[in-house]
Amino acid sequence: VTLEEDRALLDSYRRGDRASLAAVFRMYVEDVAKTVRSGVVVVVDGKKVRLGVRMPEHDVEAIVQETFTRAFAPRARESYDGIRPFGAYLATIARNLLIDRGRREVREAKSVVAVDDVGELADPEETDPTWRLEEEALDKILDAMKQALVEPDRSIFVCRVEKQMSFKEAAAATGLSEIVIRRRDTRMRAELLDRLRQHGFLENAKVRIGTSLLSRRSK
Amino acid sequence: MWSRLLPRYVAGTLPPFLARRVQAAIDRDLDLAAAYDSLRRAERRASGRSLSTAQKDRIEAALFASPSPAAARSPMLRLLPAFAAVAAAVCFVVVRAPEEKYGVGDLASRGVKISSAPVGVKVTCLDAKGAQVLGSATAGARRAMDVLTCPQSSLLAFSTTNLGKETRHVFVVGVAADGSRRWYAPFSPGAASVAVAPGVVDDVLSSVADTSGMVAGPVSLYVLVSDQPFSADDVEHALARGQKSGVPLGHLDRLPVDFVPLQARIDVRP
Repeated sequence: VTLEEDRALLDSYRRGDRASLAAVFRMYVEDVAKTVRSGVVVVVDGKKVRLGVRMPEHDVEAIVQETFTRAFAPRARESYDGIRPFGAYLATIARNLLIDRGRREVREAKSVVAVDDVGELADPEETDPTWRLEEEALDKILDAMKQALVEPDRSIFVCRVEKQMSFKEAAAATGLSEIVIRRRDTRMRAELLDRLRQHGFLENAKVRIGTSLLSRRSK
Repeated sequence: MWSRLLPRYVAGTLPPFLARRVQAAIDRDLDLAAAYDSLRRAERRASGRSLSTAQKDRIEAALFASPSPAAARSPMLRLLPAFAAVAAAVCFVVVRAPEEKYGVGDLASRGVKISSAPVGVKVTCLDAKGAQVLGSATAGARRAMDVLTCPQSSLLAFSTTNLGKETRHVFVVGVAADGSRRWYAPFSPGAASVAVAPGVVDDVLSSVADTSGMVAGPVSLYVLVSDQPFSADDVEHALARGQKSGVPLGHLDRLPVDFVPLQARIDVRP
């Protein structure tokens, strides 16, 4: 079900009802994030480039948040006609934000023009051999870690990391208390970070679990 | 310090004020940012999802804690810098629309104020005769969630604590896995929230809830705390509205009750 198909939700979205805005957010957030991660193709000084690929996680989060902030603004809510697909409307906002961000990055360029044929320019995530090798290495690290986990940690890994369940859902699925899941989940992330470091993923990132970055620097 | 907190940040187990500080540290520190990006990349690879549950929760919280959804913010600015949160807590000025009872910024400001002093509810599980304590759990401003194991056909007793300097209004509503409501304190639909005077410690409410007639299964008790009185009707209205919008009431960390600045939860399991 989309927003334009659910008239009751559409009405309450237009009114700015908090619960409805939250429902709309949950309905579309994954698609918006996918749009942001796939970037946008523009022509910079006559040359096609894809902006916004491999952005830092925080930039992705910031653009997703900004997309919804704009879509939830009173004027945007009132002006949405309820006929155009709302997902496409959000994607347009997200792409415009990516172009704005890109413009700042290519300030020296004389012209930055958005183009529609996104598909024509291959996604570097798919064509870059280094990236693909890293992805394969990541698969091996994740697989090795999962194999090394004993129950209930393996189930928690599946629920929380693979299936992205909430703590409450994971607790219901595993029969464990939420507090246990929170603790073990955090421990697993720490172990994953350690494994990533051991495999060279953080060679330039001098982060060690259990050691303060600040105190090590001061030494 | 921030590197130690990073796994908790990625898992989504940090309280909001600490999460905001880790966020600010990631923005400042390229090494920490690289570690965060690597952890997220691995998680993305494992799940196939563009955003993690923790990221969605953080974005949603930031979205609705903003002073106004219309307030333009550059996408290059980070989600919620720590200084912004502090500033929001002390100097929110919210222009209320005539039909609105509150503004979200106002709500966030009230929540910070309420959280600053211990206020909460202790739920005690008693045997069917009320003679023996089987367990207890506490939730409120200083404890976001707790778990209480309480067998079927037992009694639930409630006590309130308010170490702040102002009266607080407290309400406990039970929500079963199917989203159905069980009113616990006060005990009747339409009743007003319980006013808890400042300085009160472990003040026991006069009535207890008998769970013998209730459908078996886990129930989440949501402790709702406000600086203004509200009623069971207000709560029910908000829940019904959320349910109508497709919000799965039985599976939430937090109920869609907008007017209450602070919520905590106790999961009761048979």
